[in-house]
Amino acid sequence: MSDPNLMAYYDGELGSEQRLQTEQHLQVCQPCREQLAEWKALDALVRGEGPGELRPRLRLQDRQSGWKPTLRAAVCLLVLGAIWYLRPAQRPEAVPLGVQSFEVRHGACRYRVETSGARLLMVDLEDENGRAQAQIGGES
Amino acid sequence: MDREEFERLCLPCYAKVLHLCERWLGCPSRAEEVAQETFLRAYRARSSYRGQASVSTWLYRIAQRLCWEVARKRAPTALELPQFEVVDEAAQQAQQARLTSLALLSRLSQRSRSLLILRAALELSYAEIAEVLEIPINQVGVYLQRARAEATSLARQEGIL
Repeated sequence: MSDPNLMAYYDGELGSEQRLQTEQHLQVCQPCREQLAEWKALDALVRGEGPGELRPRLRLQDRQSGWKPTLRAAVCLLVLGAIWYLRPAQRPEAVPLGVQSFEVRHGACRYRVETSGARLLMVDLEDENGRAQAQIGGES
Repeated sequence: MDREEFERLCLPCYAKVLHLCERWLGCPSRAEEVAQETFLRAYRARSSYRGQASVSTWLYRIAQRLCWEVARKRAPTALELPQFEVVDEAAQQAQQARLTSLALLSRLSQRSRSLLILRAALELSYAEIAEVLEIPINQVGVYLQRARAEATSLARQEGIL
């Protein structure tokens, strides 16, 4: 078969009798089938449809209906709940007390500072006579 | 054809005329200008429309001539690719396919480009293509075969087919 006939078939330009003949020919002619596939790919390219991966992805499974998805979700929740309930108990780590007390002098004033780790417990301000002037935190 | 009849018959073809111009020129803004010019010229020449061809074919012919005029007046330049906002992966792939298509078409000869757009993108019959391009109908298949061979060869060189 000559190419113009094959292309006329591809473009839907053949009459019914010729179309039938071409279809019969195509059943036994691999090169003609490949030619048709190539024109199809070319036309898709011209239309801007791109290669096959641009086609919408097919859903592999139909969306399930009925009670099965609900049951599956319930089982998942139960399993997750059991994992959470049986998790190893977390004990609070023992925090060393680490209370430090030190003095800071600035001019005539003296500051007594107590800290625990990064926490400020008390600042005690005394004047030069040892009288308490102010206190932040702690007990006097 | 009065104004009302013109609007009723011709305006529904606007999207396809624009599509032809966009495919042919590769630039959306210029395609829109040419599509509008097509309708302006058609409206001015509406008295000469005798109904031998369908309205859409008549409009395509005017649009195609205008595209050729644009190509003749302008020196060949790099393809002005349309800019898209990339939203997601699917949009990015679609954009890539579109740009690939426009790039391929821009490198074909004018006749091949016209034939492939009219056949593949607008799905015109051989008779309609013959009317738009003003060539004998028995030559459409021959020209189309050459156009496809040219495009296939180019696409293979570029590794996109």
